[in-house]
Amino acid sequence: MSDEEVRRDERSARSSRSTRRQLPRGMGAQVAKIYVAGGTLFIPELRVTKAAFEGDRYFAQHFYALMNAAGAVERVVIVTQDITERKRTEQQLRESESLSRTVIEQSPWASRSAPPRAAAVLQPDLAAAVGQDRRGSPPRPGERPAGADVRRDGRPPRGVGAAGAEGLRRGRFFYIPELRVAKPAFGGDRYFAQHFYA
Amino acid sequence: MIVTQDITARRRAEQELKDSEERFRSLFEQATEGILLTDEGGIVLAVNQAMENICGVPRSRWWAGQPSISSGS
Repeated sequence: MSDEEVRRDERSARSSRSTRRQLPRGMGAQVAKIYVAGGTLFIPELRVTKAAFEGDRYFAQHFYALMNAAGAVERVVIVTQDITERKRTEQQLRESESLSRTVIEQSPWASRSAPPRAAAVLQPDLAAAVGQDRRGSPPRPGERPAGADVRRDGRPPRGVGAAGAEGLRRGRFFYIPELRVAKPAFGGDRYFAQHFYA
Repeated sequence: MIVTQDITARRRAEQELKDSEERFRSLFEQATEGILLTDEGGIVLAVNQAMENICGVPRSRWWAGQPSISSGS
């Protein structure tokens, strides 16, 4: 075998071992740049469809070029993280929030979902009843939701009595049959009944 | 004529290099992220166990059949 044939064999072998990628649009050029100019690159999400995966899988990839003494790229390290579970959890959370929002929006009763330190969902009926913008800002620690005599410090609403307090502490359903709310915007007192569901 | 050379420093350097390579290999193999090392031409030089698991492709095929997590070939 001549030297030329040996070199051709080596080139062929190297070529057959090359990696092949299908990257998000526009990322191919950036990856190629890493191999030429060095530097780092982060691809936050790469969707991969493969029969063996039983559905799509998602990956995040970091590219790091290692340079030699002459300043040329000598190696490239590719770190791949499987983020499929995180993506699924995010999707489930979005669906759950959407479902919760739909239930609240379509409920015939005024309702307000207010998890501590999170964005509140204020139903249009309630927003109108308490005179508050339904897109209102998330409740802050210690803030009292409009129209409801509920404390945010973990204690039960004022005046609910020992039985109600115990019920709320145990995370059970609680009902306030009558709640008087005085607010200038109301032009007089308004009365509400409230259900609490922990 | 007997020529004697002190090669202690070289031996120590070799041992340190060996230890360093062991540490690198251990880190590389036990990483939970998939790691792929290529040369400047994109040729795969090393693949760790996590990368095998992520792609579901045996390590031997990385050298022979151009698999990648994207192409899945």
